[in-house]
Amino acid sequence: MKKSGDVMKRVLVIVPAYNEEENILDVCHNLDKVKVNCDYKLDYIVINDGSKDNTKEICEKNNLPVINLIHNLGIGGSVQTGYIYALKNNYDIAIQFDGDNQHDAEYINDLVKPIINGECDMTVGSRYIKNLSEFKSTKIRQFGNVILSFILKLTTNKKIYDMTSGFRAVNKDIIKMFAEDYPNDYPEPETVLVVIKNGYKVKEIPVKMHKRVHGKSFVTPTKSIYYMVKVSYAMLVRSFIERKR
Amino acid sequence: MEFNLRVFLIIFLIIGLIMIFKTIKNKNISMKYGMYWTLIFLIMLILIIFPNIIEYIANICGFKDAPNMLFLIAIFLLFYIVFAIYTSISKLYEINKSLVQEISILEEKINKK
Repeated sequence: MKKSGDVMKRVLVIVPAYNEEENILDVCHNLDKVKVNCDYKLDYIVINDGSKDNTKEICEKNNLPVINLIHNLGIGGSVQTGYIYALKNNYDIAIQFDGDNQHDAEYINDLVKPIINGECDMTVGSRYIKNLSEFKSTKIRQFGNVILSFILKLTTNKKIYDMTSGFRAVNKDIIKMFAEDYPNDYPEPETVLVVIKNGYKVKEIPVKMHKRVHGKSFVTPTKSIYYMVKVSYAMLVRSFIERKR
Repeated sequence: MEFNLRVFLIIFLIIGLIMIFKTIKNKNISMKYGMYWTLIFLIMLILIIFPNIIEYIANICGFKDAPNMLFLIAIFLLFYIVFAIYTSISKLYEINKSLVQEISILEEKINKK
């Protein structure tokens, strides 16, 4: 199953999942469908973050490739496990893909292509450019996103519209960087900033996202305020630290 | 300082010192941190036996009352200790996290075979 020819790139889709028994099978079926039609080797791995429901059993029964974390680590720790796995297994590109069926596997190719062609080091799937996505989350979240986008512009002079998108692809250099250091909670906006600060090129790709069908989202007013404070703080501190490398 | 109060405080500190040594003996605190606490207690013991030292230093630093200086030092010290605990908790968390990750990845590798 190794490379046929020398240029066959190996791509790993990291699927973090916490209590996603209703969604995980669909997500993996969609990934299997996409897998057939690419001119690179696409694998995926579910990172089961110590789910309390039957996610583990469903993965094992259906023979899905899965890493069962022996203890709950939160989103940052789970995704980082995927990057460590990608590094250990020498993947060229890693993609983050949510286990709750909000992302559309059809767009994986759009995210991978610019990296393979060497146009950029990281791609971010965006809801807010080109209007592909009818689902854009709530007004209040969009407002938070605008603020984070502004902080990024302020600190790096680059504009990324969808700061909170968890649908992104990175090349080998960034896989290595993330395997070594990745924020524990609310990692998305912070990592975009760190990647840009380290001199890598980030490109935003228009994608479609879906509304969550099963399970509930975590957002409460107190939590979103805490989220904004924590993420803004992390971004400002990081923009200060990373410059000195 | 009243004689009675001083005797009471000295007994109190000696009991504290014995507790520290017991904790070290039971391996519930590392030698390093045990030494820090012992030093703090010993300094307090010296200050109680020779209270003039405090008066002298407070005078030099320009405190109106010696106790004010003591409270200030105590608060700073406690702040520092709490901060140090936070840093070691964070470090422990990172170590713990990477252990969970490595074990889980290993488990996947074993199960795949």
